[in-house]
Amino acid sequence: MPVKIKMGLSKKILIGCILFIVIPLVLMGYRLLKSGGDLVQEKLRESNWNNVRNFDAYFLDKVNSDLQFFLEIWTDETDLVQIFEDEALKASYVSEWSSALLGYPEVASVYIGTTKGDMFIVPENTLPDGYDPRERPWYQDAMASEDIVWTRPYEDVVSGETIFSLAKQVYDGQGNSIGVLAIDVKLSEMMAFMSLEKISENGFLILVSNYGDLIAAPDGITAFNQFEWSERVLNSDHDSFKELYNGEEVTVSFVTNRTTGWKLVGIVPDTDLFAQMESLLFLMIRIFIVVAIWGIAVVTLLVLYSRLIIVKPIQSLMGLMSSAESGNMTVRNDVLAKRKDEIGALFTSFNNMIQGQRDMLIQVLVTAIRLRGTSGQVSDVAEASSENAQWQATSMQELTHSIGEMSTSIGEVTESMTRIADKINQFTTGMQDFSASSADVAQNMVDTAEAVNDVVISLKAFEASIAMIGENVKSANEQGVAACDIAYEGRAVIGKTIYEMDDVQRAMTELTKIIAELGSSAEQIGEIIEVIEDITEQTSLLSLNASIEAARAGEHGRGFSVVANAIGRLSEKSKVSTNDIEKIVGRIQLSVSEAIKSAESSAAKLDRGVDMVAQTERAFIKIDEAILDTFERIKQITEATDQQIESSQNIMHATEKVNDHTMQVSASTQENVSTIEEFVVSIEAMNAITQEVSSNGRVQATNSEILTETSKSLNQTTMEMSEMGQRVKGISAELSEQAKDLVDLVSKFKL
Amino acid sequence: MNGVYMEKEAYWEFLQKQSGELWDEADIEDANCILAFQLGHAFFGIACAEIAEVVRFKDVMIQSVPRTKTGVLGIFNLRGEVIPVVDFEVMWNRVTDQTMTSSDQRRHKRIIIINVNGIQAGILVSGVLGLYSIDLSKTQPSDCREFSAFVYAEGKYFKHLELAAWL
Repeated sequence: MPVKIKMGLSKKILIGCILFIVIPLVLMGYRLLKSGGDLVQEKLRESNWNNVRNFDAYFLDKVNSDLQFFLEIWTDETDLVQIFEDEALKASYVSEWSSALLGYPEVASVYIGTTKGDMFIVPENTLPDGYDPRERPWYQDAMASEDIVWTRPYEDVVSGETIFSLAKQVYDGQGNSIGVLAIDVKLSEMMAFMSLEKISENGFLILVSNYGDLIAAPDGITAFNQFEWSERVLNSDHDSFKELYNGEEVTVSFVTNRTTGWKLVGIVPDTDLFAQMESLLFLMIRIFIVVAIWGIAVVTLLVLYSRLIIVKPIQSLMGLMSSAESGNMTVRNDVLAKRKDEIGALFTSFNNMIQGQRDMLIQVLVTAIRLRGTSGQVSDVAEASSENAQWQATSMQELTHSIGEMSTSIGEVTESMTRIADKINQFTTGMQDFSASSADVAQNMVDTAEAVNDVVISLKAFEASIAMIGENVKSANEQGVAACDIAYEGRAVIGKTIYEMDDVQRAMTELTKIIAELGSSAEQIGEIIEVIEDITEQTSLLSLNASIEAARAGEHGRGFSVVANAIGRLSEKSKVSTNDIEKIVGRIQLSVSEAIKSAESSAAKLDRGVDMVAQTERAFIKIDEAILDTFERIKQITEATDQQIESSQNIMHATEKVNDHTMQVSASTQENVSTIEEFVVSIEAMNAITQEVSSNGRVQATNSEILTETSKSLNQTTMEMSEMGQRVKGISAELSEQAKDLVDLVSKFKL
Repeated sequence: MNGVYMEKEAYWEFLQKQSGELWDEADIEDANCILAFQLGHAFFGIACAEIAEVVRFKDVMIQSVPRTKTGVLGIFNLRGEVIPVVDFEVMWNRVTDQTMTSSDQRRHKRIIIINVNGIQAGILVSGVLGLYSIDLSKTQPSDCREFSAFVYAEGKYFKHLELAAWL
């Protein structure tokens, strides 16, 4: 199922860029503008203050220090007191002071006032009457201090201008104060100078003394204490603050001059500051807009580029993956695989993976088809073997039945034989009796001719005995015929048995062959199973690799991970099935070898049976011969008996007449006795044969019992085999089913 | 697990049990995923992100390289790339030579191809159990030089092999 993409990568990158580049840029720009404005204002104020300080340092200090310098070197002169007496010295000082002060237009005059009240001034001016320098503020201020003093502004007595003075005491060689030397500075000149100095468009400077007297200021400002903040300026060393001046906001910055202690105040309207700041702000905004446009352009290009090189291939891969997920294994993209970057590598490995999977699936399919074929073959073989076994079982049953019949016949034969033997015994006994009687007769014949009556009686008894013999012989003949019939029957049965035995032997050979085939088939299955096991293991490994790949791919690997897991599970299933098959095949092989063994032992027993049957047949032939012989003898006996009866009757009739022939009769009787003895020997021989036959019959019966047992065990083995064949068939059907499942599963993939 | 190596069937059953539990969960996170494997009879794990793939030992032909450190079995060709193979058991003197084991053991041997900081190498292991999702809360650090931590996953502790320390 394709994953629905709510937000694409390019959108994410775009949003990320906007989040991480554009918004911070805007915020930063805004903050920069705001703080930059404040900073610029602050800096401008500071620069304003610095301007004031610079002015203080480079103008006020310069002017003051030059004048200070002059004052210092001039007051060091110890001969100053003598200028009032010495005209030459006075003239030299006048020229020196005048030339020195030529470059300082703000200096009004240089003068000295002594403790005696004398006054000397350059340039020379007429002082008003009653002028006493000791009463002037500069003299009083200077006398109170040992250093240079700056007076507060005051009105010059000569010119009436507002001035201030630098004054210092003058000492003689002994360190006594002799007066004060002072330099007057015109305030108007300072004012003019100050008004020239501008610190901004509309800003101006004010110079006040440490007492708040206005020393220099532009026009319009008449007094320093007109400002509300004048106290604040006078009470601190330096500062910068905002104030209202003429209704607009101004920045007031002031410093205190180090030497004079005067305050220099700079007043700058804020509009001047903002005018400077605005130009700066415009520059910043321009830079910001350019940067923002550049950033947006870069982001857009980046997004477009990433879309081209990353998102497009990923979408393509997604398409391929989803078609692979639905079973189409022919998908590949060779164009993107040629790229020499991660996307190229990804597509190469994807192509390889799909190819590998496809090959593997084809192999699985081929193997499954082969497996199905083999299992069908196995099933056929099993079925054939089962049929054979059943057919054999039927044959076996028939054989058993025949053997039973034969056994019964043999029993009958034996019984008859016993009966014959009995009769023959009886006959023998009779014969022996007869022999004894004959001997007696002969002896009596030889000994006593008188006892002819006794002889006649004896002859009558003899006749009766002969008749009995004749009857017995007849009975023996009948029995012999019966024995002959039975023997014939026995031979026929034996012939049939031999035929059946041959059948059984053939069936046995065939069975052994089939079992051997089954064994080799099972071995073939074992080989195939090894191949399947190998494939299963490879599949399992492949699925593991696919899972690793999927885990590394993260979100996009999810879909593929499902396929990999399905393959993994399939391989597990095949593993289990293969294991089962392996076990079953092992059992089949074991059973087959057992079957072969039992078949071999059956064959051996069968051979012994055949041998015994042949022996029986030979015995029967012998019986036959003996019986024929017996028949011959019985015939001879009958003939002899008939002759005897005739002879005895003749004797009986002739006894009275022919007594002389007694010797002849005796001879004949002797002959008879010898014949009887011969006969007895024959009968005994026959008896021995009969007993042999009887014992053979018993042996045969035992043999037939063994045969029956063997055939029963054979029958059982055959049944087992048949059952085994059925099981094999069932297993192979199962195998076939599994193979079919596998084929179905694999054919779901488009290969 | 008592024996050094399990019987074949028992091993399969074990793998089936493990994999049955494992592959039903498809939400293995990239960062918490380890590949669990066996070295001798010890269990180890390597982070998934460091692994390129797993190949069977019997599928590759390793050519030995003279004058290398103990434990470096040699190199082999993986689809045109030459990959060195390391046997940590030999390197840590656990056994003298692992290639002379029985065929059944050889059958389960795998080579894990790792890719750390662009370095590719193979590690010979006795068997691979599969992908596990580790429980970070039960991870315990270790100062043993063979591994950096015990990580807990699927009811079992694994020694986490920090590959960067061995490259």
